[in-house]
Amino acid sequence: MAEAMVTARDLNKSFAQKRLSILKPRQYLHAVKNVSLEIARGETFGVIGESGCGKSTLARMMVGLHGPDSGVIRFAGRDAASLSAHERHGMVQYVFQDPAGSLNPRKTIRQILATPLKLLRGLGKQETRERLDEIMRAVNLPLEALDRFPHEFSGGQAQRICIARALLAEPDIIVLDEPVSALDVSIQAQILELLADLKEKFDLTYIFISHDLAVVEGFCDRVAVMYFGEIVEVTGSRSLFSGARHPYTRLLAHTAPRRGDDILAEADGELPDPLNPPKGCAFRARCSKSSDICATINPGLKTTNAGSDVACHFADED
Amino acid sequence: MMPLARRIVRNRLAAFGAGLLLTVTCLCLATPFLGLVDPNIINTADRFTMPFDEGYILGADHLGRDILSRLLWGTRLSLAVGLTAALIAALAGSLIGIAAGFFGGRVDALLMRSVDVLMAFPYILLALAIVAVLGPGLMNALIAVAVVNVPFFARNVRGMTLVIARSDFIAAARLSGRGNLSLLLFEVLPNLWAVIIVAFSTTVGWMILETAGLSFLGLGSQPPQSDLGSMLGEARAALITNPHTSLIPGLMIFVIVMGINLLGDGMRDALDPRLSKGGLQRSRPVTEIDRSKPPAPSRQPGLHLSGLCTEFRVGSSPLLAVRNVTLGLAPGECLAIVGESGSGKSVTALSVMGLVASPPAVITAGTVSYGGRDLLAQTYDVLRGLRGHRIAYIFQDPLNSLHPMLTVGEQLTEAMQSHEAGLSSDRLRERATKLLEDVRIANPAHVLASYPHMLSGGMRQRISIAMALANDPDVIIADEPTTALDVTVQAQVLKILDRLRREKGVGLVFISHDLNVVAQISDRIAVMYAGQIVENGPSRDVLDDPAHPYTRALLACSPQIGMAAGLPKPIGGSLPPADNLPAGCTFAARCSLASKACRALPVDLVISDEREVRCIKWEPAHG
Repeated sequence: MAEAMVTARDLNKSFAQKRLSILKPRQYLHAVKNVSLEIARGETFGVIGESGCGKSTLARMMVGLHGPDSGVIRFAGRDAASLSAHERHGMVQYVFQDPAGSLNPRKTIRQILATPLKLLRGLGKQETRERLDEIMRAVNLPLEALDRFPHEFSGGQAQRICIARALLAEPDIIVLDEPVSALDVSIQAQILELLADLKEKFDLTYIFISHDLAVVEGFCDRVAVMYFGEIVEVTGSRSLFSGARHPYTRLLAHTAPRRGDDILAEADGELPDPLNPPKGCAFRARCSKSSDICATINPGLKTTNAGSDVACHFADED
Repeated sequence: MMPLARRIVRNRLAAFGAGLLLTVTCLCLATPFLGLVDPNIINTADRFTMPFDEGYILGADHLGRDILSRLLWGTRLSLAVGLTAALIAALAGSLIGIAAGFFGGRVDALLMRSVDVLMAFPYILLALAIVAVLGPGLMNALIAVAVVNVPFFARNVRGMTLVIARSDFIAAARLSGRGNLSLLLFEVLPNLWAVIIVAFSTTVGWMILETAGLSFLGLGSQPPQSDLGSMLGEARAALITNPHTSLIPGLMIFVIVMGINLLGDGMRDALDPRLSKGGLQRSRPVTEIDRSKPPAPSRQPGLHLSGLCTEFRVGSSPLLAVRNVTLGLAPGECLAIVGESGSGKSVTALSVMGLVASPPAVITAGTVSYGGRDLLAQTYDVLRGLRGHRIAYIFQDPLNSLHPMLTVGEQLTEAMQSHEAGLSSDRLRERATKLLEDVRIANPAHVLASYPHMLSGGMRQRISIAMALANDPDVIIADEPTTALDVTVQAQVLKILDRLRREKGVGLVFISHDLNVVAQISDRIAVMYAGQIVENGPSRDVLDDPAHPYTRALLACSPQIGMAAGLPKPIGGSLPPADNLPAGCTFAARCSLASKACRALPVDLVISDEREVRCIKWEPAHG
């Protein structure tokens, strides 16, 4: 593997819950548990999982919107905790799921896009103007768009603006948090194409959060599958469907709708109670392979014979 | 957005209020230059002179002082004190609210609990206490009124700040390099102006009243200085014998407060986007219908739409949302309607039962036949009987369509009772349990006693399916029922819907933007584009051999897992605007096959065997 652009070691994050009564102890929701990962320079690394699995919390920790309770994040070998906010924002940027909601409704696009240039890059007026014209061309938006307000744009256009804002900070890494989930399929494809072009052009590393396996399969190089706050499998995205080793990855891959296939569904499957996490493997209640060992020992990520990392006691069986 | 000033002028009452205020303000500003007599000169000989008598335009008071002069000087003072108090309250309250809302946690707890303490006292008592401590005097009355009104601003502004501070655009601005102070000033504050101004304009009149009240009690302005409250207070003794001395300042207070309140309400309406969009306009129970000579209803079983047109009448040209849509659904069949957002698929579905909000929606042509009747010609009572009973809806977000304050059991039994009165509660409960079992809910008893927010998204969607099934409907119209759900849950819900229609013969209209989902459940697929059906046919045919270029493009940009197809192929461009549709084929601008002929004339739907295609390049196989 080339030089690691992003490394995370044993990240943990929990959120204090509102106290139901003064007499009861405060409860904590453990959103991300012992997550470690390594992402190479220039890689597109997918993180998939269902709502509530902790993927957005992980994404927000990467850019510093949440601080981890414990664990270390490194960007190109530098400890994120030692970086100033400015240094960090100049290295890692973020694109939100809801493009309209991440643009201040009272500001023009020019004002929004000039902010990172002025504050993170320290550019003057003339340079700012030139950079703005340049970036609008790069994301295929007309220059007139600069002087309009966010509500005048469609979802796809607004997402182009958000991508432009992230690019203007000249980051090495962009965290894309479900960047196409709120868009129509035809627009999704446009944005994915744009992201792929920009990655080449600006030599970027992507962390791509999604719940859509089909998109991840086509867009990413490697994928981490999260379940209940933990990474349960890291594998090449092309082998998501056929080569998955963790039963949860298989479940996800096979319930995703495919034209021509019948509907495949588990009879009944619910997430465990996050305030009352089960012992051992969190997936065992939904797993056909589960046995005694699953109820007591959390398997943890191990490299399998096939070369992927899987958190399952039976990863090497079939 | 229309400029604020123009919207206020358009609101007649607000304009009237503004006129009143402007007059009073001009008079106040001009007071020193009007050459009035000194308001404090006592001339006991002229006491209680009536208006228009002996050179006193408004008469004289109990000490023979000129009322006109005292009134204008007093109004000047009252307005200045009221406005200053309001400004101080707005400033202090907003600062507290912004800090509490933005920083949250301990700061919030400390600031808002202090404000709560202030609110725990009746306001006039609090004002009295403050004046009692500080001593009487206009300046102290001003402070008292300001302090009493701080909580109002603090609470309003905090609520709004909370929402803004947690929004994505604030997080995004933080990542663009803004620190806390810069975030507050340049990102949060611009979004708060409207709230602060509205709160200010609706309370300033109240504060003038309160200042007058304190002066009336002798705690505000001290003699001989006049303000409106003290004038009223001094005239109180002569209320019966010489009413003009109290009537005149009373009227002035009335005019000022009235003017401010009318203008304030107008500003609130103009600034609040929800109100300016007509959000408070009540929509009718049934979509407005304005059609001439509808075709006779079909007698076939199932649900049939024929030539349906629905438009939104906003602005100068109507938005044509649904144009001449003809669709049929046989019992037990699943018909999918697919298309991008804005293609008219949801409006089509809502038009069936007259559920599109009117105004602005109007159904301008077509019939909806069900059981030999034209649903569009039915009265509200008949439609209401059918809604949920024979034809039920399922929506995308079950949290919005379930009542948050009622348990699942209460809602289910209510749905059954509203169409079938007289069932015993045991019987109702039994049926509710059965319904939940039908949608594969493992422990119905527990779920029946739960509130919607206690359940997961997948559970809630199953419950809304159970609600839809409560009265054994013939048709279920499901509008993106699985879009908000995770894939594993989506598969469960699809399975339930599929089983229901096969076992119970329910006709299912399934609206979705996802061709992969639709492919798994539907018998027929209708593809909509810009309000029209562009292709309609058996699912197998449409998916395996798509005839319309738009259908092909949609399939090419819907990735499927396991195909290793790389990136999906985008469709360039976007939907044409619904109020300015092109003359020819609406898809021509995005179509690689488009020629001159496509753009010249509207394209008709060509029907051949079971397939319908709106494309001049299509050649039916058996044509």
